[in-house]
Formats: sequence, structure tokens, C-alpha cells
Amino acid sequence: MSSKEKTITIFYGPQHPASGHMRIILEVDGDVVIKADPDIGYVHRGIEKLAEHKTYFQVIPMVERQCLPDAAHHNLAYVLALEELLGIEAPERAQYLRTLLAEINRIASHLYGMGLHGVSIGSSTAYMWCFGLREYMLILAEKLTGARITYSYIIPGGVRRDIPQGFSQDVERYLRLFERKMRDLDKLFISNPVTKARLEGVGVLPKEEAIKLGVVGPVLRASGVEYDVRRVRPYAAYPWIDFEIAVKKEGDSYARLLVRVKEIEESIKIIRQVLKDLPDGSILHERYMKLLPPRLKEYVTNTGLVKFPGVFATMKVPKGEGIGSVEAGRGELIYHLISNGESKPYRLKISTPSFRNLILFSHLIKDVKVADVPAIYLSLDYFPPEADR
Amino acid sequence: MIDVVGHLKAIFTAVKYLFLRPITVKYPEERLKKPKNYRGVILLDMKKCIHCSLCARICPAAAIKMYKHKDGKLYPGLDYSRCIFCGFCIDICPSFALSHDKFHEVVTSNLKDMKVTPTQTLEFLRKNEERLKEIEPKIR
Amino acid sequence: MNILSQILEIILNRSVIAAVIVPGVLTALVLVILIIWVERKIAARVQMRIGPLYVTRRLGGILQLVADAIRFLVSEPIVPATTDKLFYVMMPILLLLLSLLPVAVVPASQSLIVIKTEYGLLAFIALAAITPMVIMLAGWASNNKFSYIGGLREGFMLLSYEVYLFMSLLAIAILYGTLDFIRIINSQEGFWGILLNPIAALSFFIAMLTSTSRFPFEIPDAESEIVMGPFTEYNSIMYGLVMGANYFRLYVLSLVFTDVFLGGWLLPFKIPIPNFVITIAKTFIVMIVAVFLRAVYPRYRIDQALVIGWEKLFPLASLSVLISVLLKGVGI
Repeated sequence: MSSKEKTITIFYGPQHPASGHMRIILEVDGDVVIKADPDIGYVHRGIEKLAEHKTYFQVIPMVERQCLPDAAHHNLAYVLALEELLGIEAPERAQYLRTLLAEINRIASHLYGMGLHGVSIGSSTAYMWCFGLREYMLILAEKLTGARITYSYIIPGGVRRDIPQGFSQDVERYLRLFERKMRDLDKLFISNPVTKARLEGVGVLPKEEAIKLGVVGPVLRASGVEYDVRRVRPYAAYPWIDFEIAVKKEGDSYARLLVRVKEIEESIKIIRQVLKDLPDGSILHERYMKLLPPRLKEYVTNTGLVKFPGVFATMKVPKGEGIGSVEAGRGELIYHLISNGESKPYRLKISTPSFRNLILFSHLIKDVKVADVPAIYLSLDYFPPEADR
Repeated sequence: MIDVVGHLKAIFTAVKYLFLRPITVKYPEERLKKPKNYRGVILLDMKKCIHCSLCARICPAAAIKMYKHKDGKLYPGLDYSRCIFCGFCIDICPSFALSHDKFHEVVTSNLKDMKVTPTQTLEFLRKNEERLKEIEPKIR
Repeated sequence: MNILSQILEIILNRSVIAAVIVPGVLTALVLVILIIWVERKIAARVQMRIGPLYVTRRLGGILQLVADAIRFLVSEPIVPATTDKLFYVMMPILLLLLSLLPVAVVPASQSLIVIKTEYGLLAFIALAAITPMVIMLAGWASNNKFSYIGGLREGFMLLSYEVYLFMSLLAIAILYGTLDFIRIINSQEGFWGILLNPIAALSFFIAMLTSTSRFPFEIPDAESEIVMGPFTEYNSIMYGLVMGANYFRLYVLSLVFTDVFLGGWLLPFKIPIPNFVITIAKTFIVMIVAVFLRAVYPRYRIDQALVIGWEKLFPLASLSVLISVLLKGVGI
């Protein structure tokens, strides 16, 4: 006897321990997935529309809260777009401090992705360790900015605070602890034979297809393409810092994991260089410093905490368009800001790396086993709130 | 074949960590030390306020409202159900009237109590600190 | 008085004590409650955290499982309307029964055995092979796609491990020339079984891991892929029974491992402790090792587990049979 239906449809839905805030509709024949169809939009909050009703400064904390593991990069991209509209560039010390926060946040974001990837393969040890190691980075960021996750540290014209006393020694101590534990994590999770068996050869993305589909971030670099926004269109302090780009040729899930680990090592190198080469100077641009009365200027130079000039509350920005593009943890992030001379933006368009990698869901999850679905899609480091905005 | 070295390394690392101390902070009996300029609850010093309302204008979450005090002037009051602890109001205040405290565990029993009027900012902080001190002996 | 002495005779009969207390229901219950706590504590310590702590603070949370069991008993069991109700409700009870049934032929000391037979090893294998059928039944009766896939996976795993489980025990049977547990233990007087044929011990241990879904072979209830597998729709006391049944199976297999490879109640030196305490202590240590692997490994895919079962462990088990034959030929 033959039955008409050969395949069953599974809703790998939001109520699933390993799916995140999205749904994938899988068509399964036996143990082989024939088609995968992502269904997103569960976390859409309308950030782009909300930005049209807030002033330029009020948008800063809002865009940070789209993607919480990676908040500093969204902050930085928006402020770079705004600074292009205002026609100013932050002083050198501020650029270095922005790089410092961005790299600390990159490590935290990669650890978040690796932790979720580990627990979906079954190793709950990887999950707990990665989130425990992420604590070190959050404590460092807390010392620098005053908050653990949503920093609101970068403002047009510079940054909000200077580094506190004894920060370099603290950073060095934490980084040494961190490196020791990363070596143990490598022995326990990354070089684990079962992890390798699970991830090698799964979800292979060849180089030409990666370029044709327009993917970004570590996914692109794991397929052999050397593209990193920090090299192509340098921003912040990257023109003056020496670092390598992590590239691997195989293009499978294991290569993506290794690219992220290498990027963490490079970030540690960058943090050490930034703290060594930190130039002196002010942390806020001259144009805004001279608007402050002398008593507040003294306060800023003595304590290192910035005071905003009163014009920040209702700042009118000249007409034009500004683009800020940074290399966030998950890929290339672009903010496009259009203003028509008023105190609220006319249009804010955000292009997030998770959304650009979404095409890979239906492209890579074909003719694989059901157990490979979480191994593939969490190796792409897809973060639904960032994609849905 | 079978990667024996990899297996053994993983098992021995796990055994080593079996005997190390955990890094858990047993909240709420133990707490992490907050750094010096942590962005916690917001305190108002009414003598220094110059009634400019810049804090209410810049607040991203519209959490600050200006209240008319008995002497006819406006002072800022804070709504903790909307505050996101970003610190913009403190950074823009030109007379150092607003300041951060390190405390951040704000709990009230009903939504009305979340709206703190200008005269009550210090009392709000003290009440929350007292409540947290009450909990500690009970759990232990 | 006649009835009273008859009742006393029944209660104090060796078989009844073996069935109810040691190594039967009560010991199994106590060990299972302890081993789940140990698993959570070990996994927590490896992961740099503390684990269950609050229930009995001074003892490190050791009664956490009792609290969990009480919570299971008190919460409301819900039988979904779309399932096949008879089989859905029958399955946890049947699973618990069948998981503990093989202990009937396994001894814990010289005389504490429920059914004394000459074919103990064979009876054990036969009884231990029934359980996966019940899990597949649960997967079908739940009327849920995830449960259906989970039930099928359990069937696949049965194909994988059953053969080399049988062959490791065959190697031991050849080595000692008998299928009776008590005679096997008594002939391990100078050398424990694990020293004579370590490959059989390794392959039986891995078969034990596969059969009770310990990492890295935790495939039928792979939580992050198919939401709890065949047990997706179970809640409250039925869920508690099903999770407990898994550990009962681990207990029975560890008891067999102790008896056959670790010499049962024999020790190289004399200690004035009753025999069954020694056996139960060794069983507990074997269970701890099996449970420790949760913190080390991720899980395999099902086709990888099948490939490992047939390509790597089947030759290993065959090698152990060959070693047994050689040792027997030499004259041990």
C-alpha cells in the first residue's frame, strides 16, 4: 500500500528549547530534511518607525536595545552616521576608547553565540562556561561605562566617560584569567572529538555562493573570503592598530566556530594595543566643549565624566544623509540616516547582519539530517531581535 | 580512527574542574561589588536645582516630569516604571543637582509608588535599601 | 499463630528480601534518588557553578530529589484529548516495571537473589531487551510529530547497541564457562573480570551508556532537537516515573557490570562489612562514572551513533570474544 504523504511537516517553532524567537518550518522525509522555510517577525518592535518620533539623542538608547549582546556596535554605527551629518569627527582619545568598548563587546557577543551553539549540540558545559566567561567582559565594561549591557557610551562628538583609575591593571588581570580559561574551553569543547564529528562537513558554503548570496560576517570569512569592514572602510581607531583577519577555507560549521575563536584572540590583542597606545587629549569634540560654562569644563577635565551642553536636548541637524558602517560581532552593520533639518530624524534605515544571513536558512538546510538543523543554524549566529528590529 | 588523545584531554579537564571552586555569586546573600560610577537610582538635591527642565527634555523614555513645588518653582520627579538608567539627565544637568547612587534593586508593591516626586527621592532610596536588608537574615 | 509464623516465613524469605529491599525496589529507589542529585552536582561543579543547594542547606541539597518527587505527586496530571489514552497512561507504569524487572536474576550477595537459575545471564539479556518497545509505544500513542520521531529513534538505537551488548556478555560467559551469576562471581577469586578481559568491559560499558541514553549517546530524548523525544507530552507524575525508569535501567545494568567485571562482593582484602553493601557501593561508583560523562560530551547524531556501533564497537566486541577464546584455550 502506498500513502500519498511521504513527508511530514514539523514546526520547529518558538516553543522549542533550541529555536530562539523564530520558527522554521521543516519538511522531513524520514530523517532527511527536504526544505526549510524560516518564519520570522516574532520580535518586530518597529524601531525604524519609532526613531522618527524621537529626537536624535533619544534614539541612542533605543537602537542599542535591538541587539543586546552586541549593543556597542549598534551605538557606534548610529553615532558614526550622525557625525557624518553633523560634519564632525571625534578626537583621537575618544576614537581609541570607542574601539576599546567595541572590542570588549565583540568578545562578549562571540561567547554568547558559541554558548548557544554548544547547548544545541548537547554540551551544556559549553553553554555555562561561555556565559561564565562572558561575565568577565561584562564586569570590565561595567567599570568603564557604568552599566553591564546597554552602555549608551558613545555620543556624537566623543564618548561619555574617561577610563577610571587602575583600569589598565584590571583589564590585564582579567584578560590573563580569561586566556587561561579559554585554553581549558578549547580542550573541553572546541577540540572535543564529538564536537568535531558533529560539526565537520555540515552545512558547507562554498566561496562563490557565499559571494553571490551576499552573506556577511564570520560566515563569509569561514568560506575563504577576506572581507572585514575594519580593513575595507576603517573607522574609529582601526587605521592605527595592527591585527589579523581570521579566515578559513572549508566553509562548514566547524570552520565558523574556529573563526569566532580566532576573532576572540585577535580582539584580546587589539585591547592590549589600545590600552598601551592611548593618546592624551579630550574626550568630547571642541565644538561641544566650548558651549559649556567654565565650571563644567573644569569638572569634565578633572573627573573624566562628560557634561552635555544644553543644546543636546533639542539639537537640529543640517539636511543630508549619513551612513555609518561597522563590523559588528555578526557581520557588517549599516545605518542610513536621512535628515531634513529638524530635530527628529526623517528616516532611519538599519541593515543588520542577521537579516542578511537569513537567506542561508533555506539554502544550507537542504538534504541534511534533522539533528543537523540546530548545528547549522546556530553556527550562523542568527539573533532574531536583531533581524526583526 | 578514534581520537583517543582528544577524548582523554576532555575528560581530564572536566575532572580537574570538579575540584575547583565555583564562580557563583550566591545572590541575594552575596553581591558583586559595584564600581565607583555605577548608574543606579537617581537622587535629587533640591537646593541646587535651577528649574531648567533640560533633564525632562532629554530623557529618552519620558520618565521625568516636572512637578510644581510649594514655592511655585518646577522640580523634576522620576517615574521608575519608565526609567532606563541611561544617565543622560545627570550628564545634562548644569548645576549638579541630579546624581547617581550605586543602588539599583528598585522594588515597589504597586505601580503608583513607582512615580517618585522631587521631595521623595532620598526617602525612596532609603526605603528600598531597608527592604533589601530585611530579606537577608530571613533567607540565611 | 500458624498464620503469623507463615507470614513471617514469607517476609523473611531470602527471595522476598532480595526483591523488596536489596537489590530490589528499595535500594533501587534510594540509589536513583541519590544518583540524580550526584549527576546534577557533578555537572554543576564541572561547569563552575553550585548545583542544587537550597532544600537541605547544610547537606548540600541532598533531598532536592525528594522535593521534586513530592512536587510531581501533587501537580495535576493532564491527559491530552488527542492521544490514545489507554496506552498513554499505561506506558509509564509498564516502563517502570520492565526497567526494574531484570534485577530478578541478578544477585547482590551470596544468597540475595530473587530467582536462582543457571541461565542468569541469558535471562537478563532477554528481559532487558523489552524496554525499548514500550518507549516506541509511547512515541506512537502521544500523537505528536516530535514523539513519533523520538520513538523511531529509540528503535534505531536498539538496533545499534543490542548486538555488542550481547557479545560482551558472551565473551564473559565463554571465559568462565557458565551462565550462572553466582558461579561467575565465585570464580573471580583472584582476578576480577576487568583485568582478564578489559576490552569486553569497555564495550559493555559503552553499550550501557547507549542503552540508557547517557551522553554522548543521548539520542532518543535529545532535548534541543526534538523537544524530549517520545516523552514530550508527559507531565507531572507520569513524567517523573518515566525519568526515574531511565535511571532504574542504569542501576540494573551497573549491577550486572559490577557482578561480572568487578567481582561482585569480592575484595582483595577482608573487611567486616556485609557482602551486599560492598556490591551496592561498587554499583554506585560505576553509576557515578556513567553519569559524569554528561558534563564532558555533546551528543552524537543518530546515523553517527549507528556507524560507531557497527563499525567500531562491533569489531571491538568480536575481539573480546576472541581474547576470551584464547584465554580459555591457554587454560585460565
